[in-house]
Amino acid sequence: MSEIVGIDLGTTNSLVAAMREGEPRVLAPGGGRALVPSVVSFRPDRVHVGDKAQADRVSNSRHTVFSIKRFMGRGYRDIEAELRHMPFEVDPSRPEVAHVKARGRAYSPPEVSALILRELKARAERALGQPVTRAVITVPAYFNDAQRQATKDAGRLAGLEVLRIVNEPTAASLAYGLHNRSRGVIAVYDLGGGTFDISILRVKEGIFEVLATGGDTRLGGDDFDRALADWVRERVKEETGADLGCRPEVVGELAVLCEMAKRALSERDSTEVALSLPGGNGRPLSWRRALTRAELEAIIRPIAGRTLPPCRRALEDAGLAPGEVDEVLLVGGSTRIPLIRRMVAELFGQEPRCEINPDEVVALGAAVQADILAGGTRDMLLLDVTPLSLGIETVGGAMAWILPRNTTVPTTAREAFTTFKDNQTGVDIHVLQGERELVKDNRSLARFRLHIEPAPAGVARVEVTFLIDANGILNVTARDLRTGKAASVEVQPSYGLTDEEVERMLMESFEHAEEDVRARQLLEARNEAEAILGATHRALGEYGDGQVPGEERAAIARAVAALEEAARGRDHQRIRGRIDALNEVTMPLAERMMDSVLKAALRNKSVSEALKD
Amino acid sequence: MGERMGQPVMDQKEFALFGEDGGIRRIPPGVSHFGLFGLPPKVGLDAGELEAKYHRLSRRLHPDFFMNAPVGERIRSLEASARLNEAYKTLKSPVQRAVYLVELASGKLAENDVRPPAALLEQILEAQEAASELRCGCGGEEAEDLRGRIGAARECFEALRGGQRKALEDLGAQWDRAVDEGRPVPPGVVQKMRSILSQRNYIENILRSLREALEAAS
Repeated sequence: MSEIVGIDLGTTNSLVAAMREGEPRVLAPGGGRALVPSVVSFRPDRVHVGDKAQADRVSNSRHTVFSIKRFMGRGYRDIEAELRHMPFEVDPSRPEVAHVKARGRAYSPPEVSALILRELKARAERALGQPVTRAVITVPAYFNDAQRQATKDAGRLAGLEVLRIVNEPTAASLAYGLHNRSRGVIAVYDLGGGTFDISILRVKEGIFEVLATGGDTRLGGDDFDRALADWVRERVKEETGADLGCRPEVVGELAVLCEMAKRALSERDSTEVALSLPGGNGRPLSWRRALTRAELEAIIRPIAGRTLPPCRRALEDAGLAPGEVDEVLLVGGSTRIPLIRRMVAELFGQEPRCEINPDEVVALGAAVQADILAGGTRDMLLLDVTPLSLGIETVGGAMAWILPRNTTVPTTAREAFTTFKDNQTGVDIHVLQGERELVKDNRSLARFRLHIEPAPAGVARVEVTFLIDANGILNVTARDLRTGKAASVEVQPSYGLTDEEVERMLMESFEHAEEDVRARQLLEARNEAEAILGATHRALGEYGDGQVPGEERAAIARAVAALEEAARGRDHQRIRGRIDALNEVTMPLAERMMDSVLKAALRNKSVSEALKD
Repeated sequence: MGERMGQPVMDQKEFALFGEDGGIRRIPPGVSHFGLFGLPPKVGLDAGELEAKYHRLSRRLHPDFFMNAPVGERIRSLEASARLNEAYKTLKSPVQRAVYLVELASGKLAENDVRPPAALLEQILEAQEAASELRCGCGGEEAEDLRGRIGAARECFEALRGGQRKALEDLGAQWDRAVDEGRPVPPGVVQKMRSILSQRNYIENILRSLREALEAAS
């Protein structure tokens, strides 16, 4: 059985880990960097992922996609407000799935994520020396159904069977909890590039029971960078009068610059922000200014403060006071920011733990969960919860709750439905996630249509079972209570891709994969043909008419012409066939050449010298 | 939009989750949460014992341990775990457990059954009015007065809640005695618990809205 890997598909960076000799390890082939920037650069001739793509963020800003995780499971209207910070193009024509556009083609967020996952898969395969087909992928705990589904779709598109979607903070707690390094009530504060999670767990005898979770799926390091970018724009305007505008080059450079300054200020008290823009369709501009940590903290404090109410609510949901938490774990690159550490310490009244690299801890935990699924570890078990309440629309646009948030998954709830009218053949059920009382304030998840046998009003009785699986993904089945038979349910997801779309993309990716393979085979066959044609030509030149019988020479000429003709075509097998044919007719010639080499050797010439002749 | 309906009453016999071959058995719809844990249907319950049983069963049923099992076993593991989690969640909360027992005995507590206690109706309306006035932000001395009125109402409802808690404890003790002695629970006990539990949500909601009004205004 092939190994199951754990993947942290992050907003800023991604990485893959696996169990090695009883310990989770991040995988970095050739001992290089394990972190792969979650960046995809679409060049005219090829696609780059990771470090190479990161390097394109300024030079190829229009076609370099980053932070795609913020788009997962979202519609165009959800992300519209973020677009001024994104130098790449987003297609407004598909409201239910925010597609990005690069080099004239639209890509859904799962497709872009799949390119990152493919890179991680390849790295894992190189590091492990075996094919990798199964994975555990982590998501923010506060991801809704559509975002989880989109992540699963990305895995499928990358050729991975996603055995489990695991919540990032709980995965981190597994990495800390290995070898009983952690116990009691644990709070995991996870602030990444684009998302924030807080999870409260109780760890007892290897059982990791999540008591409550909360968060914000649009709050992370990116938001600090953007606040700093806006601040830079204002300063530039104040000091030079120049409006930086929103050319992709400017947006791309500002994003990179502000991220670097922010990182530097986690290590030092002050840094320099230097902006240098060549005059393209704008004026050339050069601007620099010192930035202190205190200034940065003043800029980001309002955003950082938004992490506190979810923490308080999660504690309340868990029925705990901050003082009852035994340990606080820091996860995610943004927890390196000193301001964040101070805020967390103050809230919980204790110094948080961060001895496992906050960039790696989630992937390490995912590898532990992968090992549990593979049957390796049996003494640890994760009991996670669904982050958002599930409900259905009732008359008048009010929510009727089915499952409250923080319910342990897998979980199930049943509701019975009947008809209002005589011979009504369908019942529509609108399922939503969220905490608000009105349907319009919550997140539409899907619409289901129940097909019902015609009967007088109120006679039909269909029981619908809502099952949230261990991935936090909803499954709906229905049963006719009068007949006991399964009733048919038609699902229309409100956001994200339909099953048919994922299937189509899968087929396309297979077709493309096949095309790619064919292109490579063709290239290899042509190269080989060229090599053998060249060698034959040289040999015939050296061995004059006298040494090669006319009949043989004619046969070789025919084979050469046939191969030249095949090499102009696109059928690699035909080329291979003619290479073999040419090889066969040139065999006697090759043997005579070999003879002369041997004779040369006998005349005390070295074989290599003889071959050079 | 269809109409939602109540759930059928369940039996309370103990259910054997595992077959003779050790495989997970499919749980029929009639098995109660108590039956699933092998616990008597009582109001009082040892939380530590319940948690230990829950952890033990989770280790045997959780889908994590059936990843490579045949599909039928995988589905049974998923369904049984979902059911186990539902049962644990209901039984570990004293209030949810009491509601569940009352519903087993006398049918579902429908949401529209929840009526304000008639004796308190006037007081409730007055407190809610004060809360909404405070929320829309009248300033100065008047706000101070509103705050005082809301505080007084809160104390009154909290006292009521305390009395209900005590009454529930007494009723629970009667309920459990009947179960221990193998008698049916007296219908009067069921009815009294039912009426207190159906008022409880109402009181809780008012207390929450009063607290929120005070917090928002401060």
